[in-house]
Amino acid sequence: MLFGISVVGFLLMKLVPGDPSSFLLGPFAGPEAREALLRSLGWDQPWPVQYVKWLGLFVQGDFGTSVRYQTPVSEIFGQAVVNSAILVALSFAIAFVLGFFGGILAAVKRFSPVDRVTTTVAVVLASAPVYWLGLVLVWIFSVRLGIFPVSGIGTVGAESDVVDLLHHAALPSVTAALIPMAVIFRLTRSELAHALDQPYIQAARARGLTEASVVFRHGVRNIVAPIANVSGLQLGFIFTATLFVEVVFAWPGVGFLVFQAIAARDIPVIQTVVLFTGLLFVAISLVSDVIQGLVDPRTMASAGAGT
Amino acid sequence: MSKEGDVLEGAVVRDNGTRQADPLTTTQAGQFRLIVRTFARDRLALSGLILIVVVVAASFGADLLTPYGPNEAHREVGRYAPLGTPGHFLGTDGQARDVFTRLLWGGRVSIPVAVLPVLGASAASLVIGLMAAFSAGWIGSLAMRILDVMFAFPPVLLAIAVATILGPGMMNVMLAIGVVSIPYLTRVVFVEAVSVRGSDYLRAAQVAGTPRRRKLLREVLPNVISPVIIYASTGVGGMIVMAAGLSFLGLGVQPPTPDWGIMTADGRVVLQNLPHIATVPGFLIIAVALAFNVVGDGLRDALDPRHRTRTWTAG
Repeated sequence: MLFGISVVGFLLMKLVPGDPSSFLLGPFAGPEAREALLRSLGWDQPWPVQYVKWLGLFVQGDFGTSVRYQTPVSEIFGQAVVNSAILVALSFAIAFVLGFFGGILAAVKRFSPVDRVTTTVAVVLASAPVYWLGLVLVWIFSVRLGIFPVSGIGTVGAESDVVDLLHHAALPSVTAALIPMAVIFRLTRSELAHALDQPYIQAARARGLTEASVVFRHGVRNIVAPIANVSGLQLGFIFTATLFVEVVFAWPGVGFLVFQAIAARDIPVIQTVVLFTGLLFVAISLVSDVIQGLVDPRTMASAGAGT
Repeated sequence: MSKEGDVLEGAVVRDNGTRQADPLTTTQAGQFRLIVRTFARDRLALSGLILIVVVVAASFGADLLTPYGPNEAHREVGRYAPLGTPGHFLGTDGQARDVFTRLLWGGRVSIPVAVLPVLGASAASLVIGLMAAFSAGWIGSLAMRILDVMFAFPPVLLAIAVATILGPGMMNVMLAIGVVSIPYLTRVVFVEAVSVRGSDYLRAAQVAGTPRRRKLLREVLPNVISPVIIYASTGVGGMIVMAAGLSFLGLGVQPPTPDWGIMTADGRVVLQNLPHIATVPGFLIIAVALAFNVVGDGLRDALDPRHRTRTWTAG
């Protein structure tokens, strides 16, 4: 699997039309200069050899040099990852807390119109382009109401502090959280509503337990497994949503980096991002399998056999 | 309880149409009528289909609906004419082009750019999936391994990678969307084909000495194709959103071609004063993507005999 991902990353570099000589030397370089440069970069060797060398460097943390900034990709990439991680973490927290507890509330209260409304909203949201949702939120909260800043990660020229950061992160993280929140909300509500209809809940009530104890210790505990599973998937979704959200809000993270790299044809940067995302997604699915096994031991055996 | 009604009616059609003792064998015409009937009863799916037809018709009949060309600049009203300007009810954009006209023409780009690659990917995945399930050779399993790797990447990023390799442009973005769709569709084909592989009717065909080619085309394909149709029609919705997203990032269709994603990106500059330029194309994307989703759901109910049987036995 990891081999496959690294091959994809390598091919991304090799298959892009043109070689480094065209953007490093410019259009007026002679053929000799071109060849000398390619030889110095090792491009005259067979592909498998190049692959091994490239992979060796990559494992050591040398991801190549950004064409646009002329600095090592690892430097630019590191800061972008931190910025993106802030956004993803906030977004996931919003989606999970509101979706999960909102879902519990809706299942316990059983207001029936809520079902229809939330299902419709969730279905409609799921078809909406994330960047478009971002623009709509900007229009409502920044342009009309003026509560939140339009873009950026901090006030220009001001000392950066946590409050300012959160103020800037509010709109982008909510944008990326909207769809996963709807998904988690719906799942929690329907699973819990189903669980609360089971005979063991009646038994718990008959024993005279408090309602909170019935709901949380007997109801919620039985739905943790599917929720954990879906939340893992939603984390992946938030990551891709963040790519677009960062572009809309000019948030200097990985997505914004890719966006700039696309415009500048900065292949080493795109390559690094693609590779790391592949690795990240493999890691997410592994971790969510493990969590799945922990919260629901019954799936342990089959999960082990599946992967 | 319209569901029960039309299934019962379907059973009548089946009986009248075939006059066979076994109710499961139907003529193809009877089967088709049953599918159409079930689908037509599903109001949501039907309205989705109508919406798609209307939007596609409006896009391809743009010449009849608007007197302007998509890239025609209207100097007399100027750049960024507001909503409700006489002759340009949605106003004009940053290059004084009529927004309504570009929305219509955008449909010619934004819809086919997702539909065509999904069609192509469906055909490709039928070949790959059947090969992987039915050939003993290593090619099929190698193909499935490669697809496993592609699954590791989120589709948007994979599309970005492919579009980066190929460079921007309409043709290339379609290729990228096709490539991204293949793993998902192939998995659908493969899972379905493997379940058919172990079925009694296939063993019966084997015993009867049916040639391999005929076995695949007449016994396996019909059982595999409806999940593909269902999945593909639902998938088109997501791919429309993704194609517009690639255009929005500058990787897809290039200006001045009218496209809903590009229009959204262009409208960002004037979000403050003219929010409709960025948001209206988004509403169209949502509407069309939703329509494909509900059509996919409707097809699932209509095409999947298990689903029909379930509603039947339930009633």
